[in-house]
Amino acid sequence: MNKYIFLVLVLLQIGQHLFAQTLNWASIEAEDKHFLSLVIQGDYSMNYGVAYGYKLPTPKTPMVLGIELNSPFGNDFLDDWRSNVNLHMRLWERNGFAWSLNPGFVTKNYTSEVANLNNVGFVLKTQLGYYKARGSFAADVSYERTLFSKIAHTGLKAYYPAIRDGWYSSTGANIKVGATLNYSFRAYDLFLSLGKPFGQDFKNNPTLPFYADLRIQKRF
Amino acid sequence: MKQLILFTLVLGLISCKVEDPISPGLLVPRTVEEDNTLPSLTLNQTRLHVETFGLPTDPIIVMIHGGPGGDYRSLLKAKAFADDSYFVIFYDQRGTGLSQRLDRSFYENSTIQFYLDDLDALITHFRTDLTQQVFLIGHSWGAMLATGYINQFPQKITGAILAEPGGFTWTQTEEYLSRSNKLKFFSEALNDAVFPDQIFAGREEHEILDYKAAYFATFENAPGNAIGNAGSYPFWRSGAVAFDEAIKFAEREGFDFTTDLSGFNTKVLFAYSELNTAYQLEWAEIVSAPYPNVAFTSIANSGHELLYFGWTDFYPKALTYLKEF
Repeated sequence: MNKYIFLVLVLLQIGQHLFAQTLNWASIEAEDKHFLSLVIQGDYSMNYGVAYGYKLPTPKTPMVLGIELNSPFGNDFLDDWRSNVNLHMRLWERNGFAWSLNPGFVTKNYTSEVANLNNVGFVLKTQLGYYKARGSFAADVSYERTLFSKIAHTGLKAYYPAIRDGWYSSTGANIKVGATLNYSFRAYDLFLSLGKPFGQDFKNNPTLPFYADLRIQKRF
Repeated sequence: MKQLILFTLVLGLISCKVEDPISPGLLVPRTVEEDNTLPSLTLNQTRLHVETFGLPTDPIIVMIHGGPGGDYRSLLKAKAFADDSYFVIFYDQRGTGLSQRLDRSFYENSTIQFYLDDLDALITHFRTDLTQQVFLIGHSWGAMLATGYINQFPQKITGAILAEPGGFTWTQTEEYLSRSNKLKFFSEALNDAVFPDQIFAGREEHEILDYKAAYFATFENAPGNAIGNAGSYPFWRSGAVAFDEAIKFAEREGFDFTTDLSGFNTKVLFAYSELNTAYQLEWAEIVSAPYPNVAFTSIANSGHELLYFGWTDFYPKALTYLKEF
């Protein structure tokens, strides 16, 4: 399975109207159905991306399906990318406080002179925050686990010819703890998320010791 | 149609054999613990990957690789010294290369003295008598270790060639690293190095950590790198835990390999590379200052990995120095 088949899988998911989002529940108007975001972030690597969300017609439990596609900065356009397809659900709300759950399916593609990696995994994010029409603040915790990786080695084969290409089982999980601050104006939301990532063992942590995510979103 | 493509992809996924990433030999070569055919030596309760060339009674040259966490594969051109009547010893330091791996707790309860103790045990093992000459050729971190050894055991060493040690104290080393490993946050090289953090995540096994370290090596040798390397160079396996713990030790306690160097009056050959913009003669003079007797040589057309990329220029200069004794 090469990166283009992987991208097809991702685009098919777009066709199914599956999307994921960061949201200010209190700023969403009844007629808002679509959410389009531009993203810049430091999240494992330095990335830029787009996200699109679609509000489901579920009056009791607000839900947004969406997809996000991020790619690291660099010379080779889209040689590396990460897609996140998930469902954002507000499960509890009282007096402006709300708790939401955000499970998702993650695919990653990576290409370098070392190897080509295709990876699938899942992410579960939860948010507890205080939401008003002009802004919000929420605490975030997420858990992301790899399920399978397809590895095809390139440069490493020169130094270790017996290296094994193929499918590999889970290579670990990361946990992120942070917060999201939001400012909403007219049909726009500005989100800033900051926090710290940890490896699942809280010892072997990502090289970038923090994550920062800035996005501007339009509701329509 | 979309459903059919999805079904085919999922079926293909299910039918693939799935490997365990920590199975020995799949992603990284086996160590001497897992492969008895590799040449090895047990010293100080650890099994080291060791290889020798030449007659054991000839003057000894011990090749000390860089890192921490590197291996001696890129130094192997130096086996040519065996044809010049030297007994050349290569070894992967404790927990690195193809040497035995150690649990992280070993490092947490140790200082870096064990690197010097292992070198001493290696020399003691191979030295046939006390009159046999012993030379150290160290590259980068290996040159730092060589100096640490001379600082403690000056009487055991006949001479030394030091190839671009970053520094002989932690403060000096930090300053060199700040120049040699300048971070460009939006560069392809850095992002290629750290993107795999979200795939190989929070695992403690040496197989995964050592494998992941190979992705980071591309950052150091990317086009336009400050240290002047022409690209990647041969290696077997990084010692990720050894590297990580050495850095943690240095940050926590520092080190100084120069406390008694003023008494070592033997000439030392200090080699630096023409293309390493972070080093040059200026840094060589600063780092080597504790040695009373130093000769400098620039290795032409090479970056930091000068015993590999600059071997053609390094070899005759090194041989000339060795033959002075």
